Amino acid sequence: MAKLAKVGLLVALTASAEAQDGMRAGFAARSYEAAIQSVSTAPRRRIVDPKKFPPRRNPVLRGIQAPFRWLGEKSEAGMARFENDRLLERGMALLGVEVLPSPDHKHLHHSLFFGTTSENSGFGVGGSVSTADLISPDFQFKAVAAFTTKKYFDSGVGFSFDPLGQGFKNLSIDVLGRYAERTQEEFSGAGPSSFRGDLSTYEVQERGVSAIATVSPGRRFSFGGGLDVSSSSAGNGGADDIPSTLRVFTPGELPGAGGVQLLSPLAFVVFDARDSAGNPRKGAFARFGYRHNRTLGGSEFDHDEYSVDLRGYIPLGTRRRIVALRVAAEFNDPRRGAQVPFFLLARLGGSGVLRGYDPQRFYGRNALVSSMEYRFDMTRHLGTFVFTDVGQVFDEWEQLTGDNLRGTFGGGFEVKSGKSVFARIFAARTSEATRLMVRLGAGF
Amino acid sequence: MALRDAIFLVVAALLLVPALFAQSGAGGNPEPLWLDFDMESVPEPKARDAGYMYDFAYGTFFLQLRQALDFPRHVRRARGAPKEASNVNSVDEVPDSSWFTNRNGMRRLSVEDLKRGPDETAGPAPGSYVVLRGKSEGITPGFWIKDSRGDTYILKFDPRTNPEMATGAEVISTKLFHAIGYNVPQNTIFHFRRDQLEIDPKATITDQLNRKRKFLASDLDAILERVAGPVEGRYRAVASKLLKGKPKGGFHFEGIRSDDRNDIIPHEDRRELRGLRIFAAWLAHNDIRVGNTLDLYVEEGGRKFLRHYLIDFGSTLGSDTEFANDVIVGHEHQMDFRQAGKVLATGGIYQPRWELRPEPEQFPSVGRLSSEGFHPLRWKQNFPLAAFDNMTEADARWAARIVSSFSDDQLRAAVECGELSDPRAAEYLVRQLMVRRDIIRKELFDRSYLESSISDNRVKP
Repeated sequence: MAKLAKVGLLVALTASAEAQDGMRAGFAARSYEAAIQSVSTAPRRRIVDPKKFPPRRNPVLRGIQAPFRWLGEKSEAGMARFENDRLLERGMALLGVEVLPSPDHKHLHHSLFFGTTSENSGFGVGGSVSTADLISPDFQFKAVAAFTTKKYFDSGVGFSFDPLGQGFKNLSIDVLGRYAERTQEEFSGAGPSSFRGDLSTYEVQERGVSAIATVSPGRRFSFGGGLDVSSSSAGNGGADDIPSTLRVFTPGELPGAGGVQLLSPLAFVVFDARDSAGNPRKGAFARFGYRHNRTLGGSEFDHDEYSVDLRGYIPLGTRRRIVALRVAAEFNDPRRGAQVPFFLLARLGGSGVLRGYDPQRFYGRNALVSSMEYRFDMTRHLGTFVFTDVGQVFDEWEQLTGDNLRGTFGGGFEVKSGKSVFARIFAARTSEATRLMVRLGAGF
Repeated sequence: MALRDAIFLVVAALLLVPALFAQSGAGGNPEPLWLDFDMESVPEPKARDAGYMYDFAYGTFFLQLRQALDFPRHVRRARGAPKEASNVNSVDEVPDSSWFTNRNGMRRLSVEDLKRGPDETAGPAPGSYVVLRGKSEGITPGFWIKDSRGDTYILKFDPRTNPEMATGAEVISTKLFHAIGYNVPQNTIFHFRRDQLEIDPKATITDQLNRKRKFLASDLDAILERVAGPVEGRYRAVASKLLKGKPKGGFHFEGIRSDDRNDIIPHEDRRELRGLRIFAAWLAHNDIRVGNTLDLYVEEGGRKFLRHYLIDFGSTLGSDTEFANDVIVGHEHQMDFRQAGKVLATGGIYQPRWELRPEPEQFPSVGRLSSEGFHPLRWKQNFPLAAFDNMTEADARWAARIVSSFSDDQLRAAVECGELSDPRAAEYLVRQLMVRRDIIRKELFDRSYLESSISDNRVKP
């Protein structure tokens, strides 16, 4: 009897399933014909009872959703900009580009920026205007200005042209006049043994004109040279709670504080084999620079400046996981009897080199720093990294001892698109403090 | 015997009764409804905008947060009782509506019908074309033209690195999504010469700040400069015919549209939106999101109502519109916290399978599309969508049955519409579609697998 019951159940289940399949097939055939009839002749019935599906209203949820909806408004262009436009090297993020046509079909470009102008400037806004192809494809007039919360002001006006008439493909000659006020630069003394408690601030005013030619014979290689004329002076810093550098340190410790005028021929060579400048995952980068600074009307600040920046990016089996290495150095070699103005000394600290120390924590004639980062992507737009930096400033090589070297380490996250790192937030531990830092743009 | 056998007999009798009624065509199941009439006249809704940032922010953050706080959902998951789709009839099918029309899943379309798809014309009429508007914002540039018949089309192009890829994908996917049953615009491959274009003196272009200004010849040249170059003097584009009606923004994959009285079924409970996950996986429609849908206020039969469209298939198959699919596409959401957690917990050592053996890009005109390692339930679109998260076993089976209804000849015909010049690339694409179809059929009809994969209303591969 039990067996009979089980067989009966099996038959019933099978029959039920077949019946449903049959119904579906039968109805499907009939209903398709019905469906292709004019909709207006079909019965106006709903698949659900409208009374059981009243409009759902949830003011709280709607309120929460509102900002997200707002994000959608006209935001396609914003994303395209995020993807396509590189971030400014100084850490200013491009907010927007506006292109205004002139009556003869040429273009004038306006841009708006947000970010920092230098390591210690605080955040601010900036704008630029460029004639693009308004005058000629081989000639551009440019003007840029930025102002920050710490009352830093940077501005420049100039033009670029390509005498070869190739639209700046292989040659660019840039002539730029500049004026800057950096109101709260920090100084704790020069040399590797400077004391953090001597922190002071000063203001630098700088004006200058440069003419630089850049030749790019290939996609990865470029070199150039030119001439720069500048006039700089230091004054009392603008921070209320930090004493002025001019009061804390003696004039002998602050060469050039009274003003420096320099004439500087310069040259540079760049090799860039990175797969992407904004978010490199493999390849290498090298830059060598030389600048001969000659005092106008004297010789007390004559010095040669050498700089080198070497970077390598090694994928660990995948581009999502890499080791990034960097060695950077700056050497200032004063001529006999001359000095390097204190505000032109090499400096370390901040969110870029020897990370975690106060911005501009170390000043010295020379600086050497190496960085190593282990970076890995968690998702397409979020990466993480851990790092260690080692370096120090020094006047003589003998000062570059183990005791003087400073090391830092830390880690954090970076928000990015495929091509550019938009921002980094990280914690860094040093012998003096642990800091949480935010940096716009890529690390290195 | 006793009690247990008696229970067996009673259950058997109860099951036989409806079966017998069904066989005889009397009683039992009610006549299934095959048209859900959601096309009554409604006042004109307001247009609403949802761009990329909305889709990213809402799907990545808000939706995740809201689902995490949805305690009834957690209870249902614990009970193993998923919330089934609301708009299915008595035979568990989706009736026609302003959202969906049963096509290949009900009766296999002829090859000719499939190739015709939603087309009303064969594309822009031969002759010269007037450029009406330009589009420089967004991922791909393009512009609107009017042909000699007075029809308006938007032209979209291929990236310079992958000629034929985005346009081919757009047309092929249009045919297949239409055959599945969705409302889609007419998309056709179109060739033209630069000298066939004239700019309307009133033409405008939307620049990168979404500001309209006069469209200039230099703008047109700049757009053509950015796209795949001409072959024998002719540019290749996809011509998307302007839909009749007033655009009212994209439809959302959750909730209802409060200014549309016809819209009473929460979108996350609509089977055609839940099952779209399987179709999107099949055709690698990774960019399925609100911004790539459209509610159109149409007038049909004297009634004015919203019809709901899928648009923009440039990021389907092996194409990511601007370039070939990255190896990550289809494997992770843009911001995939689950993957991120694994990577973070292992200090970056964790490497997903797809990364260990990345799919190669076989043909530039196809991009990166492979069936190796493909699994419809593991496939992920760019941004989480509520309707996709709500897909149940029944929804998946419904979609899988429709995918399975496509024959090899139909797939070959759809790919032919993409007009790929390299026959090897076309054959490769056909092969991938076939294999992916077969995987869907195999995986989603395997009940034991599904039962272990789907719990409550969230699929967990």
